[in-house]
Amino acid sequence: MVPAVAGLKRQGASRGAVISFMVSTPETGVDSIPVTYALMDPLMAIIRPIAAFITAMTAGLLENHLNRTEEPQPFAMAGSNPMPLTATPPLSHRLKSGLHFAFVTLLGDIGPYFLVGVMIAGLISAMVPTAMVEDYLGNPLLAMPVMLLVSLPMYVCATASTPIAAALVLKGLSPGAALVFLLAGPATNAASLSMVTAMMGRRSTTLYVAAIVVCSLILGAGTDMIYRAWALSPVAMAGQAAELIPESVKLIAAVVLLAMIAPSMRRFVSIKLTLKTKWEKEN
Amino acid sequence: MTMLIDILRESWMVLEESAVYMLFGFFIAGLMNALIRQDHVTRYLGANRARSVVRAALIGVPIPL
Repeated sequence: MVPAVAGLKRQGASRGAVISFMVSTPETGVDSIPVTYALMDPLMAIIRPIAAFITAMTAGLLENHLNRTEEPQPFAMAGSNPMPLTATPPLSHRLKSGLHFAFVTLLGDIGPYFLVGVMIAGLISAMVPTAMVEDYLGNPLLAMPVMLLVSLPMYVCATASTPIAAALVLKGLSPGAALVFLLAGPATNAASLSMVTAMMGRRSTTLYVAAIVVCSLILGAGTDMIYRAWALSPVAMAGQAAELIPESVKLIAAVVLLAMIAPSMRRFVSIKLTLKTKWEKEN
Repeated sequence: MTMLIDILRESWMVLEESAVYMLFGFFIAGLMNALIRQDHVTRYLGANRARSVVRAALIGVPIPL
């Protein structure tokens, strides 16, 4: 994500556009939307990207509004500043490198976190009693702020947050509170916040967090209203997408996915261990 | 021990439910990477401040990570 943001800044995009991009990129992606459809329900798979778009737009417009005094940055106008156009490689080459990027680089980055998310989901399904979620988080007015507090420090990407949110919904968490976690979880954590601070400064970081907090609470409340108005049960709808797929295909896909993530799992664990020993040595 | 087996079984079910959709999502990400040029995307933002915010928000939605 860092190179894409740097590219935007270099091209002279307004600060608001950069902030906007830094909100919507981590909150959803073409990988997390199908997974939301699979583990949650079609409505959530639609609401999630729309909510991310609204949150990003709000943060970006606020940023531009509050930084009105700033000189408009020179724009690379189309045509006036022709980029040195490298000859486009043939389609087959581009497809090959694109798929390599997706299934090796991207899946290598996201996959291990996704598997951790899957394990946490398994832990919640097996160990958390339904009554506990209903007793403590049955009231959405309480559940949404609680999910927000959990989300803020948690290091979780959009794809990995989905199984966790789905498992909590199956235990009785309201879909709105789940959406709060899906929006705020990936967008606000130590890594993304330090990147926003480094690129945009403290003030914009405060605004970034404020926009995410306010939007996710409002959109979460709106989501609960939609489910209630249409009398939809997120528990009954959850996972219906997977029922369309034959058992054997599911099994093969799970094994293939696991096999593709496994090589980066080794690297993932060794990075974590190196960081841990480094930390222990320094302290 | 049975607890651990329960957790692993539940996790495996979640993995089975999502694996096809995960592979599909990453396939789309690969197509996007192959067919869309990054410099075109950034140029698409344009000079209008408000419109560039809306477009940047829109572009960010499908991009993974």
